[in-house]
Amino acid sequence: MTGALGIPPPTSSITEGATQPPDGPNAGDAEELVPVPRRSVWHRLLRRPGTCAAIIYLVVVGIAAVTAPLVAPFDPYRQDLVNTTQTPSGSHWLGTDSYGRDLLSRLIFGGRTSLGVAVCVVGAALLVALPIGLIAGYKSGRIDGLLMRLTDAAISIPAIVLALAIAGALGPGVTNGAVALAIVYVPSMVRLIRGEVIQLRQETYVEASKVAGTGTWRILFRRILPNIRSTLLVASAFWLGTALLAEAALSYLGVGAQAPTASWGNMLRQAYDNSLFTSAWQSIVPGMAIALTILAFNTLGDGLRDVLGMGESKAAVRRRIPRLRGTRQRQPVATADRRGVATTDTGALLAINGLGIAFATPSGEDQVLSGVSLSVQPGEVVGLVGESGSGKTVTALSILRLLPPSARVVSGSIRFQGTDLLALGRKELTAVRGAGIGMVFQDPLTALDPSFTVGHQLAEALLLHNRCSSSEARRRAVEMLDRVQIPAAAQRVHDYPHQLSGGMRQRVMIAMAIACEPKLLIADEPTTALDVTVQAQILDLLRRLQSELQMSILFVTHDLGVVSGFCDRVSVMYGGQVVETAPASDFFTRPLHPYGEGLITAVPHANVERKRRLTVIPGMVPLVSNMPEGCRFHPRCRYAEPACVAQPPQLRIDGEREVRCRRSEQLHLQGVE
Amino acid sequence: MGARVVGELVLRRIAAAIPIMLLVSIGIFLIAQLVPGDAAITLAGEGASPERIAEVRHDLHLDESLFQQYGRWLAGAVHLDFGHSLSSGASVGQDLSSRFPVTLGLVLGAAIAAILIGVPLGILSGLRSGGVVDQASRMIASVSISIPSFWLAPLLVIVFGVNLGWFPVSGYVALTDSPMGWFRHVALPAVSLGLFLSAWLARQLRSALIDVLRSNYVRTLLAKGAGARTVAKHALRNAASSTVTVFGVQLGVLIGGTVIIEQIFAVPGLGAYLLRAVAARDIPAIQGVAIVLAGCQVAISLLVDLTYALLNPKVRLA
Repeated sequence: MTGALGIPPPTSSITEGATQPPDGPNAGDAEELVPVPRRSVWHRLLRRPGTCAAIIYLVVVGIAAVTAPLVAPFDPYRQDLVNTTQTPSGSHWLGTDSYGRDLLSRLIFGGRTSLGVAVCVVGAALLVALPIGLIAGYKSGRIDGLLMRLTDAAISIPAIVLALAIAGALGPGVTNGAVALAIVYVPSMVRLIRGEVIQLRQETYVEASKVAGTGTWRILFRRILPNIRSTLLVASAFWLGTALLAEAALSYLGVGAQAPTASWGNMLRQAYDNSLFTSAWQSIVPGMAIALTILAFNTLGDGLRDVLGMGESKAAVRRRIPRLRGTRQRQPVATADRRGVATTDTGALLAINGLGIAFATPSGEDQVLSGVSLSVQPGEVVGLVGESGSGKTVTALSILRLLPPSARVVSGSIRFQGTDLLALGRKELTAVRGAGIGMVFQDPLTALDPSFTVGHQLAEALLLHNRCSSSEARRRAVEMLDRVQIPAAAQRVHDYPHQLSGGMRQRVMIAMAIACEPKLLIADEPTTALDVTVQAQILDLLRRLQSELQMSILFVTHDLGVVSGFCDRVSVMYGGQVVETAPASDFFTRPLHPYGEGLITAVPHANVERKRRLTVIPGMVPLVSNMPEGCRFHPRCRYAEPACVAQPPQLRIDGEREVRCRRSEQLHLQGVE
Repeated sequence: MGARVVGELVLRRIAAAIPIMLLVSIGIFLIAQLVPGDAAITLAGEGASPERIAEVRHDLHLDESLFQQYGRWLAGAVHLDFGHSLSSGASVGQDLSSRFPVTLGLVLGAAIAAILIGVPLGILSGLRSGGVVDQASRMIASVSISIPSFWLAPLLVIVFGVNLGWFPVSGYVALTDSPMGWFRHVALPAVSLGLFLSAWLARQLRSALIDVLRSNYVRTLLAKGAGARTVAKHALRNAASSTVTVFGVQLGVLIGGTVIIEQIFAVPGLGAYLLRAVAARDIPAIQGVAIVLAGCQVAISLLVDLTYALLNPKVRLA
């Protein structure tokens, strides 16, 4: 379950140890992690005004229903034929019905029936459905097959029709109505539980229990049940709402609670039959009660779902974040983080200067980039390297302003051919995207629209920039596929993305990115998702296209092997900063930053003498929410001194080389020849 | 190239629907067994003569084994012969076939109402999530889902039927007899019935659009230089299939809802017939309606699957 949710599982009184499998949460991709503060579910539920109101309403109505004989001001059955169909007054707060009975008292007793039936129906159905669903999901095979056919069949009969048919055969009455409804609920509950169990069955901790010889029922109740608890909780809130509605419907139709027993459904019916056109108030009271209670259950369900991190949770997290749309009318600002700004080369095709980016989180803002400066000259291939979480993808996405709305530019500028992209309006920006700058993304499997042919998507790249007519564009789509060496291009244009292999899809992506012959291509780890032989082919292709089109490439990668054969210059990122920039050959022979050295010596290299051991940089990339003081690399740096902790290092510029390390002049770091 | 695959898919789905309908028929047949005590005595009503009881026993074939009873009932059901109504003595099959088009017309009207209200709202709020329209439409949606149709309907009757006099408050005219008459008669029931469905559509479409807009392929589109219109085109195409699925599932709920709405607006359809049968414990009539409506629901889910396949190249070209 947690896997699909995308956000770290919440720990809480309800889900403690539940949604969090023992193998741990996804630690550490700082570029994507949205930290969620760990508070109790209650606390977070009550912080949402809507959910809070719903809970208060339900508690009040629930208490009134349970204590009806104590709190109801009148006997709900006592008729007063003198004072019929009164509107609210001092003695009868909600007025009286057509028999002169006190409406408020009837409403309270009616709630006792309606809520009571809803709770019993959901409770009883759940008791029956739980063991069936657990077994069906866990055992699979023949039992599961049979049970699923049965639920398929049961769900095929419209619920209210089935309930009416059963209640019709059993005869009218509150209990029979409740039994009918419970029978109707079982199949869909079984279905939900089974689905959850099937997902959990493959989890490692369940597998481990199985291997350890734990009994089936023990696994089901100890390992699996706690993990579907939150799903059931959320579903129950919605089920209670629908059960209440169903009970009201049955009573309204005269099949459920019979007069004089009050239920909200039959109160409504009575109001219609006796006084719909004379006193609308009579029908408004029970109608409001039903609608408000259902609304409250649904609101509670929505709240629980968001808080427990299910369904729309990601949207919910985003909703809570104050929208910081800084990018649109942003002027480049000179602020604190511009110290050590470099690379203000006027001839550069692309010049990023002192770029700072922050992401809004529920608890504030995390700055993921600070003072990032780099440049790309015309015709140059620049490698942007670093471990995952170092901020390279954020940097790459920020150039075309493709970051999510929660991102905000804190400082800096991104100049392309002299104009600051951060200051452009919508129209001008779309004119640059795809035409001046093309972009290739990491995962070719999800980067193409699955519902359109690749030919359509290729032609679209041209049409968006009015490069030609649509028939011309279709013809050129074939040429483009040819250019990226896809065989049988004329047929392939009619294919959908899922019909192509990963490598083929990446070729299509590249063809699309260069359709308008951009001056700059941003390639964000274009080969990471592919297997090794395909990687080499894609690199060859990029290399060839680069020289054919004389375009510049900003190549984002964590693979230094790729950089050494392909790039003219290298910028190394760590912890949201560029820590070193150098011509590629200089960087490899003599890195200036200890992190650079670490990266180089971590790569198996043909020229490295056999006896020297391959080193790995100890530790992990820091989380944006928890950046080390001083030099961000110091906790992992073997050359670190106390001074490195005390003060953040400035960017030092020496000719073509830039480095962010206060000891770079003293150290003689190791490279490869 | 996809035509044959679609053909095969149709056949596969129909083949899968047959065992489901068989199980449904067993379940519906067994409903008669729920009648407490000696069904013949109960169903003949209080103070019935022994002849009447024997007649009921014979009519329902309660003197045969359960297995024989089912075989006989199923053989009849296949030919739309559900026996005779216990209350009126008329052929249930004939009653059903005269009432079925009425319910179908009502469902059609409600589905149209739901689409006309729900789809634009869902698109507006999905493409501009967080905006004013989105917040308003989400609020309307959660309220609409909570309002029982049997409460909304009479209120609509009072306002638009009685006070404004725009629409008739009861009865039904077939679409084939008079499209205008159908529209006027079906408008209020359709809105009361379809409102919750429009809310589901709006919600589903919204969340599907939000998911799509956050997807990698929309990012690719933006990187290509796509404007709002191109993005909307791609987003809608991709959000459509999950919305169709939700629509199909909720259409089943809507069919159930006709029971109450037909009662309120005095529409002579299957729902009103079922209610009368339930009140009279008219088992053959109850069984007949249940199996026809279940058949509708199975047919809808079949259609939904096919639409899903048509909208999804991955399924269509599998």
